[in-house]
Amino acid sequence: MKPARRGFLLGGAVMAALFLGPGCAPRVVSPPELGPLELRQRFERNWVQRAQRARSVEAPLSVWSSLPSLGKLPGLDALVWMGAPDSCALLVNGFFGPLLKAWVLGDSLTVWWPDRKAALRADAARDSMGLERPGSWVSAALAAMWSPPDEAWRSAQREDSLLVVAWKDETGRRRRLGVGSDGLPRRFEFEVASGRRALARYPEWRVVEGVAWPMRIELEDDPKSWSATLRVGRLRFPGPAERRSLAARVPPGAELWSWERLRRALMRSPLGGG
Amino acid sequence: MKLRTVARLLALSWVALLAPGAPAAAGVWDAWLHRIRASGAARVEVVELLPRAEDGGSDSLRLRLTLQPPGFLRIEHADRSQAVVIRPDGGELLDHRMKQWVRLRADQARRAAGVWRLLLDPASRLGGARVGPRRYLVRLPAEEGWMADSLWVTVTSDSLPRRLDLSGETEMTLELKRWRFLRPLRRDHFRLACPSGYAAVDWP
Repeated sequence: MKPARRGFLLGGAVMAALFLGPGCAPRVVSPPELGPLELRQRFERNWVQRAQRARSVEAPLSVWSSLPSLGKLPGLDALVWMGAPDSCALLVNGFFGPLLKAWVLGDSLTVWWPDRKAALRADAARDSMGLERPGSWVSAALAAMWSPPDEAWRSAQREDSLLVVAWKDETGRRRRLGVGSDGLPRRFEFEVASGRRALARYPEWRVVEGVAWPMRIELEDDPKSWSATLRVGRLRFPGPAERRSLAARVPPGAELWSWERLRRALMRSPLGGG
Repeated sequence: MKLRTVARLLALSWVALLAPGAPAAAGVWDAWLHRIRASGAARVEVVELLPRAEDGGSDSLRLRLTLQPPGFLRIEHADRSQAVVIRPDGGELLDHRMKQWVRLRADQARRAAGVWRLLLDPASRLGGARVGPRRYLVRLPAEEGWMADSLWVTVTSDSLPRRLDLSGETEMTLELKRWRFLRPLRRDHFRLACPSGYAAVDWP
């Protein structure tokens, strides 16, 4: 190739790169910041979609938790069934098969340990569980179904990238919900008792069957006495024909255990089984 | 009281009477222990049947068990998703689904081994009696902290355990198939390393 021709081609390539390059590169476009009203509308649209689906949810769940006194605990492999607004069932798998099954329904919590034919029954109205209506709380935490009252939206304030809505519930306890620019809850902070708060974070969402759903849930309390990270696996929304009953099913004759006895026995049986 | 419970109590009291001698159960126990010791190690396929209280059915789990005296066990899920090794000095659990490696201290490993370590225990410590053709009832020592108090053992024609039925605080059936006797395995067969990227956790 002659030098003049080669120079011409090289020059052409450089010119093309200069003119076309910026046009082809992906451009970073900041989404327009939504006003509080539009964000609220987006939040509510998502909330309604999730509430409809949350009536029947089935998902594998992995749970990682830690306690300051014991450090990081072994992860748990579980299956969760949810029937919002107030019921959930959880099956925890051990090395030798099903390890524990738990049901939270309204005010009550039931745990069944098949290996030991032992059950634990607790009722929020009678026992000190630290939460009123645990069924509603667990459902809300898993599906991020936190719902601020109308007036709280009017005083919502920006904090970094979140719109923070703060209010007090009927018992006077503080709640703060941080909503992202996509209208999805990112963090929820609530007082569980005087001087004690709990925090739920929702850093990962995925659209499943047209509904945005939290796939990673981080929970902790303040002052920090425990923390847990829940990762949601392949999520399903079973139809009416496939729906499981979420009523607790403990066989007659099961021995009733206390929390302490259950905790001690679980620690003594690392794998479950005989 | 359930018929099964009555039968169990009767059988246990009968065994209690026979326990001082208990030659039959001890004899059969010794027979397979002797075979394992003579060869060095043994491997067997296990189907674990767990009764499901909700509907009366049962869940089953396929496992592969490797035994090597004194006190070495390796239990793997047939689908290779999980494995646990037990040694006299501790053990490890490897869970590929959760991508975690759990370390067990010696006392935890001993408890985790549960009923499996019975297969390596000297028969002289166990009371028992023959309760039928190729069927034995073994009374488990209370001080060991077993979750069962009795164990029905069914053996094959060459005196190898074919089925174990645990009864007591826990109920479980183990079907054992295809016993293979192996030369002693290297000790690292009873160690599990933590793969890169896995969470390493000590059992609390």
